[in-house]
Amino acid sequence: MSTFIEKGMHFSYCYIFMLLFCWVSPAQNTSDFSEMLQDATQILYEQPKQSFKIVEHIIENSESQSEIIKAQLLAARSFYVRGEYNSAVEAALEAKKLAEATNDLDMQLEVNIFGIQILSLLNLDLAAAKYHEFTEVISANLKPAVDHPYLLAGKAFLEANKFKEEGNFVQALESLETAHSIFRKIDHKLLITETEGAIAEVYLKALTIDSTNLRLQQMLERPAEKYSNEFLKMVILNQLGEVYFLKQNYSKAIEFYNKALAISEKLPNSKYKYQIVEGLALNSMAMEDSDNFYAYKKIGNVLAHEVALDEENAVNTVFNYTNTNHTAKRDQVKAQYLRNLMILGAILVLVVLTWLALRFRYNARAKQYQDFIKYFEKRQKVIRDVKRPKTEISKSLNIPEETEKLLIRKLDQFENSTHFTKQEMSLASLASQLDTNTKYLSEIINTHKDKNFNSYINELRISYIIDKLKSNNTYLQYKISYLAEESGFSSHSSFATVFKSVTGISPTVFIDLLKTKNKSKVLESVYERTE
Amino acid sequence: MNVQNNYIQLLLLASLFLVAPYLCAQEDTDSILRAADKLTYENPDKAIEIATVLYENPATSDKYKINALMTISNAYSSKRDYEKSLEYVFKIRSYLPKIKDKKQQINILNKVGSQYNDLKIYDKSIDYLDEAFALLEAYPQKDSTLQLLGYNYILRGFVYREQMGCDVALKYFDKAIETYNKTLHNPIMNANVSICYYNKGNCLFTLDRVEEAEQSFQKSIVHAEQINAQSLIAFAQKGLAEVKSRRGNYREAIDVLNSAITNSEKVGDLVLNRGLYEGLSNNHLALNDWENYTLYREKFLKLQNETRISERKSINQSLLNITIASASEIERSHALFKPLQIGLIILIVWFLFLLIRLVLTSEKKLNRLKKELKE
Repeated sequence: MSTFIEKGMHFSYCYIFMLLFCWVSPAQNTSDFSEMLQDATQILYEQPKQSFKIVEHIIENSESQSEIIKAQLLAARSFYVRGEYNSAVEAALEAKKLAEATNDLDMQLEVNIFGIQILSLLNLDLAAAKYHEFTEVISANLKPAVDHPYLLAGKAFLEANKFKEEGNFVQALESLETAHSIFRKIDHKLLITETEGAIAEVYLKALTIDSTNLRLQQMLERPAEKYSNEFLKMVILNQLGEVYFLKQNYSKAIEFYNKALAISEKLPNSKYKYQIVEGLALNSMAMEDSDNFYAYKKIGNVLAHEVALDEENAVNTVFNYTNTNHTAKRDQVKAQYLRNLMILGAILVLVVLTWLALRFRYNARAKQYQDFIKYFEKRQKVIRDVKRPKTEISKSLNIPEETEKLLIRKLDQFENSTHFTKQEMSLASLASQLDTNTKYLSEIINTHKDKNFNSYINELRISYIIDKLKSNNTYLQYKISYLAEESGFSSHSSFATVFKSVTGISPTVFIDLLKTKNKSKVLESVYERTE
Repeated sequence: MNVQNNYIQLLLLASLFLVAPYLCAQEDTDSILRAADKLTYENPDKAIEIATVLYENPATSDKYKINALMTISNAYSSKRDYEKSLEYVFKIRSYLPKIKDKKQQINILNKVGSQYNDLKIYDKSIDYLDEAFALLEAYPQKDSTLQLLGYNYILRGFVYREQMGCDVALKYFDKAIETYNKTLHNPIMNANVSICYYNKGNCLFTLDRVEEAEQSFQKSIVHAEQINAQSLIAFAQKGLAEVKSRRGNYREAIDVLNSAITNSEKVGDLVLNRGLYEGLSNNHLALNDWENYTLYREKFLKLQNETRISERKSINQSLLNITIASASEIERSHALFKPLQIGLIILIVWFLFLLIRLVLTSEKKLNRLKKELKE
C-alpha cells in the first residue's frame, strides 16, 4: 500500500509540475488538452483529486467546447468517486447544459447516461426515467431507425433500478449485465467500471454466498493493468467483507473491510466509508466486542449525517435545477412568442402603411394623368371650336360686327404667332398691337374664348411650350427656368404653378412622362428592328 | 440518518404534546388541522389545500390561522419548496402585531423558531427563540408561562445539538426538564418531561456517559408511564436497550426491546420500529443467534427502504409536478400564441395580396392613361 501512495505522490508532483509548465507556456494546443483528458481519465479511480485538478485546468483554459464538456463530465465522476454527490450533480448538470447547447448527440447521450446513474443513486428514479424519456426524444428526432448503445444501456440501467426497488435482484443483475456488455462493445472504460461496481453490489442479493464469493474474487484477481482501479477494488472488498460476515468468518471479513476502509480513506469517499464502518460495527457485534461496535457506530453516525446532508443537498440541487430549467424553458417559449408577435405586428403595420401610401400615390398620379388627359381633350375641343368660327354676337357691349370679325381674325393670327411668349404681354399692349381698345379686346376674349385675358395668355403659352416639348426632343433636356422664359413667364415658379393649374400635372412630371414615352418608343423601335 | 429522523420525529411529537393544551376550544378546526398535519408527508399538496381553505375562511380565529399557516409551511418544506415554506413562516410572523396576548406571541415566536430549526436555518431559529425568551423574561406571572419556557429550552437543545454538539445541548435539556417539572400538576406535561429525558439520555450516550444515560432513559420511562404514552415508553426503552448492549448485556437488551416492540407496534411509528428492529438484530447477532439476526435485520432493512422511498416520494412527486406544470404552461402558451401568430400571418399575407393587387391594377391603369396621353 505504501508503495502505492508513494507512486500516487510521485504522480501528483508530476502533475503539479506539468500544470505549472502549462500555465507558463502560452501556446497550448488541443492535443495537449486531449492528452490531459486521457491522463485525468487514467487516474480518476485512483487519485480523483488530482484528476479533478487536471480537469479544472482544462475547463478554465480549453477553448474546445467538446473538451470542456468531457472535462465537466470527468469532474462529475471525480466527485462521484469521492462520494460527493452534490458536487457531482452540479458538474453533471453543467456538462448537460453545455452538451445540450451543442448538436453533438453522442456527447449528450454520454452525459445523460451518467445523469441517469447519479439520479438513481439519489433515488430520484422518476426524474431519471423522465431524463431517459427526454434523451429518447432527442435521439428519435435525429435517428429514428438505429437505437443508440447509450440509449439501450440507459434503459437497462433504469430497468435494473426498478427491479432493485421491487427486490427482484436476479433480474436487476441481468439488466446490469446487459448494460455492461453494451459498454464493453463500445469499450467505454469508465462506464464499464461503474457498471461493474453496480454489478458487484447486486451479486450478494441475487446469487448464493458462494457464487458471489467466487465472482467477486474473480473480479478482484483480474490482471492488474486492466483495471488498476482503486475505486472498484474498494467496492469489491466491501462486498467481500459482507460475504465473509455472512459466512460467519468474521476475522476474514474484518480483513476485507479494513482493506476497503483504507481505500475509502485514501480516495476519500465518505459514502463507502460509512458502509464499511457499518459492516465493521456489525462484525464487532458478532464478536461480542461492544466497545468496538459503539466506536464504529459513532464514526458511522457522523458519516451518516455527512452523507445524508450531501445527498439532501444533491437532491436540492437537482430540484432547483429542474425548477429553474423548466421556468426558464417556459419563459423562453413565451419570450420567443412575444418576439415573434412583435416582429409580425411590425411587418403588418409596415405592409398596411405601404399599402395605404401606395394607394394614395397611385390615386394621386392617376388623377394627375386624368387631369392632363382632360386638359388635352379640352385643348382638342378648343381647336375644333376655333375651326368653326363663332357667329354669335355679344350682347353686353355694342361692338360693330365688322370690328368683331376683324378682331377674331386678328386674335387667330395672334394665336398662331409667338407674340404671346413675350414677357411684357398685357391686355393694353395686345390691344394696341391689334389696333383696338382694351374694353373691346377683353369683351371678345371673354365671350369667344370663355376666359379672362390672363388665362387666355397663360393657356396659349402652356399650349405653346407643350407643343414644343412634344415636337422637339431637345426641349426635354432644357431646364424648367429656360422653358419658363421661352414661354414668356417671368419666373420659374409662376410657370410651374400655371402649368400645373392648366394641365393638372407639374412640368417636371410632364417632361418625365414624355421622356419615358420616347424611351419606350425607342425600345419599341429596337424590338421592331430585331424582329 | 436514523438518528436524524428520530430527532425530527420526536420534535414533531414534542410539538404535538406541547400544543395540545392550547387546542381545546374549536374541536372541528382542530380535527381538520390534525388531519392536514397527518398528510404533511404523505400528500403535502392535499395538506396545503386543506390548511389553505381553513386559513382563508374568515370565521377561523387568528390562533387557528397561525396553526394552518404552520401546517402549510411544514407541507412545503416536505415538498422541498423551502422558499415557499419560509414565505409562510413570514406570514406567521406577520400575525404577531395583531395579537395582544403576550403568551400567544411567545407561542408564535417559539413555533417560528422551531420551523427554522426544521429548515436547518439554525441561526434564525435561535434569533426567534431569543425573542421569545426576552418576552418570557418580561412576563409578570412566570407560573403561567412555564410550559412555553420549557418548550423554548428544549428547542434550544435541539438546535444547539445540531450546531455545537451534545455538550451544549445537555444544559438546555436540563433547563427544560427543570422548567417542565414545575408544570406537573397537569399530568399531560409528563410527556414533555419524558421527551426531555429521552433526548438527554441520547446525548449522554453519545458522550459515552452510559450510567447517566441509563438513569435518564429510566426517568423518561417513568414519566411516560404516568400518562401511559406508549410511543414515548418505547423510545425510552430503545435508549435503555442501547445502554444494556453497550455494557454487553445483550440478553437484557433484547428483553427491553421486545417489550418496546409490543408498545410501539400499537402506535405504528415507522422510525421507532426501525430503530427497535435494528437493535434487536444487532443484539441477536452478538448472541450469535443467526436466525433471529437475519429475521430482524430483514425487518429493519425493509423499514429502512420504506422510509427512504417515502422520503423520496414527495420530492419525486414535486419534480414531476414541476415538469408537468411547466409543460402545461408551455402548452397553454402554444394554445394562446399560435393562433395569434397564424392570424397575424394571415393578415400580413392578405395585406400583401392587397398591396400586390394595388400595384398591378394601378400600374395597369397608369399605363392605360399613359397610352391615352400618347394619343
